[in-house]
Amino acid sequence: MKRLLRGALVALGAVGTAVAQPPDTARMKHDEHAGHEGMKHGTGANRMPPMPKGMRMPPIPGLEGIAPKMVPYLPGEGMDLATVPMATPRKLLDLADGDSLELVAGFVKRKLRGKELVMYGFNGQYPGPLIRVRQSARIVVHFKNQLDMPSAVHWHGLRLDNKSDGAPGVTQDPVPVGGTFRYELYFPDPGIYWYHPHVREDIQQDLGLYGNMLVDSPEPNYYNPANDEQVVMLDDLLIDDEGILPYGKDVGNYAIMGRFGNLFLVNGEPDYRLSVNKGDVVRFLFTNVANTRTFNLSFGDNPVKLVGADIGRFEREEMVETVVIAPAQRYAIEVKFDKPGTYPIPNTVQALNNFLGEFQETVDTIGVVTVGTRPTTKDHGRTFATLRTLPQVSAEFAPYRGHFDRTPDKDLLLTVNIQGLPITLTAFMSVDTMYFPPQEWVDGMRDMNWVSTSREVHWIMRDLQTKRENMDIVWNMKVGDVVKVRMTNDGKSMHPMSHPIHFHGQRLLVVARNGIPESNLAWRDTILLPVGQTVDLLIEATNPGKWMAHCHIAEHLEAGMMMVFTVAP
Amino acid sequence: MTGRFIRAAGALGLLGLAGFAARPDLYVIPLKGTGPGSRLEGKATLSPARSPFGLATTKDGYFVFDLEVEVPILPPLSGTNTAFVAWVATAQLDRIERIGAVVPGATTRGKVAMNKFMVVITAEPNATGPKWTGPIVMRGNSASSYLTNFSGHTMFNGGVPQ
Repeated sequence: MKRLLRGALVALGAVGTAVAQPPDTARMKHDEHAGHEGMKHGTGANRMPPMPKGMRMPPIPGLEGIAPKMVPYLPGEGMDLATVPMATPRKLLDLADGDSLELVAGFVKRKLRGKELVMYGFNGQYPGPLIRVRQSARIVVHFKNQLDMPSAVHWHGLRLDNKSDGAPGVTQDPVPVGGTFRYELYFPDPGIYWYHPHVREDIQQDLGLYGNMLVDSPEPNYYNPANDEQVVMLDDLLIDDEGILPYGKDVGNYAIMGRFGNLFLVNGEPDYRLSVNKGDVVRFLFTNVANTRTFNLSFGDNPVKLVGADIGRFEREEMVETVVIAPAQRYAIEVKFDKPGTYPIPNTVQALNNFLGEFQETVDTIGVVTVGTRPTTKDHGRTFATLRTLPQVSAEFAPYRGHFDRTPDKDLLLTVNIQGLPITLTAFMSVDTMYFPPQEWVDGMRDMNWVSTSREVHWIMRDLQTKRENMDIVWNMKVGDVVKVRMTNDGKSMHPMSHPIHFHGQRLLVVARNGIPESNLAWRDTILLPVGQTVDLLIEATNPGKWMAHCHIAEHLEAGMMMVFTVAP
Repeated sequence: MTGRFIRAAGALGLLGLAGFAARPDLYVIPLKGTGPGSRLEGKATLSPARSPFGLATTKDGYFVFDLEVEVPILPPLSGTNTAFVAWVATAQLDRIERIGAVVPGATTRGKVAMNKFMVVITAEPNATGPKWTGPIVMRGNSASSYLTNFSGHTMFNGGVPQ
């Protein structure tokens, strides 16, 4: 093999002069590592984004002048900004069974980092209105598209009627500019859900089109008692001194790793603050609405109890050190704040700087909790100290346990095909394949990711039984089926990444990871699958229709990583 | 034009071959004997530690792995050494953690939460000491250890990966 490699590289040297000079590392200006000095490819609307916090990379010879092959898009170009309303914080909409709501997607103005930006908003709000309903309620949403591109609204996690799922090309046509659509929502399960567009998610969701739906259980102690409940949407936005970095109008950009933002937003705000009393228990209902970023959150020394996932609760409550939440996932946690003081909520990761081949600890504070000296008005310390086991939740899984160990019905491989990027870039990528972490926390190869579009990068879900890929996959189920799916995240592809895979319209159970049975079950709709790993899941087919399954990294979806499955009545 | 395209495709393919061929397994670390001509072999297998999130991390953001060390054959112990012990250590040796006693044919289990690390088996006077003192008998590096800066890639300096 060594001889083969040597031969290959000698041959490479021979052809290199004709096609692509191997980068001359001696030309790299290693004393100019601050961000991208000397490496500001692109200008104006098609400029390179700033480096991730704390990362410095020198200019890479051979990459001068590269830029993504795309038509840049930014919202509001050519508009009279005076006509664009300033967005307002979200409002709570407490809706009863049978109520209806008008939801308008339109342009808004936001002021972030001192700059006035044109973005999108539902009903002029950031995030969109918080819809609160009782379990089993039905409401009607009259959606109106006042954007400059087609849209549609997906009601993430709801097991509703197929026609209202909001998946253009599968359940409806895109809603044209100025058009309307009537969605009938049904809320069969308690918990926290969210809504977002399913057309160019990489643009529309990123620009602010997202909102939560909180579904209350009739069970009085569904969650443990708490002094406060915070419904929190986690996001990030990619901006520089000129404003928001452009999107691709004709193709998705940042197609390899997704678009990592550099401004952290909690409920649309960069400065999340919460004040509580000493001894308070706060329930946080988290939703990750970022395009690609997975968060690793912690709360200092304050104890954190995990109680719920995407759809409902865990069988057993458990204490956790951190909360790892991937795009589109939800988690319900409870935190007890016993000591007065100020507690940042850090997102702490070991970021991989691909150029230097080094990890570097990166801490971004997404918010701050201030604990006052006044004691809590109602002490929930005893219930907090108790980790509940919920037999009623386990009972829901009992009919499926016989399926846990059987042979999978379906076998999916998640992988990628990259073709057509500049050769020098591909050369760098090929030597950058020595190691991939289970999870990429930041965009540590900014230039490569920036240049890649959905024209060159094709993310793939491959059915290993039929060899079909993405939208060519045909999966037929019927109501009552329990379908076991094994998903493997190819660790040997050109650039593996973790994937949060979302199945529409049904509930899922993760029964094993890497062959090891899962010991604490919860219903889910979005499953994080790290690099090189395998997950076994059950799809509980209860909801007839034609449904999508896809990666919820918005840029991976745009680069093809989606499929359809059918559940017959 | 066609020739140029073919050369470009060839270069790409070769680059890909070079990159992929050199890629170590992400989750299996080969362990090799350290003495001259040593034929000792073993492996350390990383499995993601259990987490309700599907990804186990520390507050500092390190991935947490379960580690299994397996060595089929070890040489006889000599001198005052009474046990073989497995350790994990960062590349800078600023963190060294004991995994446990290694017995040929058995599995030694522990955890590791480090970025770049090595697995080391030493011969020790006792199996429970906090730091290794004896000679290194076997070792292996995590896949992440092979990360280097772009200047360090031999192919960009006219060299050949060894």
